[in-house]
Amino acid sequence: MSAHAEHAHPAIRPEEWPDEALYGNVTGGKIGMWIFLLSDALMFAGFLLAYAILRGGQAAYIAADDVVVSYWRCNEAAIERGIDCILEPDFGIAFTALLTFVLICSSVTMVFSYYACVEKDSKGMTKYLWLSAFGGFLFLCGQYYEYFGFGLEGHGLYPLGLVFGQSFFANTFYVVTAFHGAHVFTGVTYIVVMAIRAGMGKYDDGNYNHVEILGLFWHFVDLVWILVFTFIYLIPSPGDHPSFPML
Amino acid sequence: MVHVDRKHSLLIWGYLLFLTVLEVGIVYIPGIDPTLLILGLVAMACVKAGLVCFYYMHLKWETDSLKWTIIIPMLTPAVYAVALVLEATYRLVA
Repeated sequence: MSAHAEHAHPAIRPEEWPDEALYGNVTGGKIGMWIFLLSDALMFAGFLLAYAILRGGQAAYIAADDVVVSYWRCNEAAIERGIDCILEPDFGIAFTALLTFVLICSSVTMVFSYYACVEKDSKGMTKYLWLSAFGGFLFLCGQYYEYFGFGLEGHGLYPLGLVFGQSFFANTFYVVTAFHGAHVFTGVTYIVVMAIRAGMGKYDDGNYNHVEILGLFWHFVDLVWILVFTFIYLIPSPGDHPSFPML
Repeated sequence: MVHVDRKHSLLIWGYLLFLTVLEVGIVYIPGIDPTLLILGLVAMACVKAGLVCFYYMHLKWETDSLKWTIIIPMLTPAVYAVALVLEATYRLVA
């Protein structure tokens, strides 16, 4: 045994943690991740609230003595209303729903990697971790395509006119979705590191603490996307939907 | 707490997919009442988020203290959002 290994701190298994009265035998790492996720959730909440405030106040920005100070979104209804702006494209909801499906699938493979670790199935754990990372990678590719269209003619929100800085809608859309995308990228990197470690046999003893903490982060990324998908993609902007006329 | 139940995890996955399809479908209902649409979408998103949080993030199997430590801060922005929506609605109506 090397000198380093002799002095290395042995990994404490989650079930060996003292059963504390308030929080049970939750490990320090897990508590730490929950605290991080709470702060992260509040940051996302701030962005989504900014989105809601700007969207809710759209009429006030448009109609001050018929002078357009600024506008929420440049759609056909806004142009008909006399606002001089570059038409912004509609979302491909079906495509984004597909990305949501991919992320939900990668969440379930993450759960399976945790189960495999608990059952000391190192190969299964590694396989499911790679599948989760692949799901996250597909999501990132999909987001890149959604933004830029891979350079294809008539594809991509940015080339079609949804330009950062043009409208409140474009600004909040890019800030929220790119911030989420940064989380997906971080998550994929985290999963790849864990998959490599699992492949090296670091979790052969069935110590699931690390994969459980990773799972918390990855499921949180999925959870946030569920909210982003609903608030930004599915709830229509005024003028985008027959039930939501421009005021 | 260790909790291994593949069938149950797949069932939750099925619920999440079903709700996603329902969410997308409801947007395309012609002439739907906007309030009903928004409330329906938000309710379904909350159910989906709850399923992920409680089952995939194992919050269901944690102690009550830990559950509330997490749930209460998570709900505070929602309370703030309701206040903002009411205020924005008042401004649009007034």
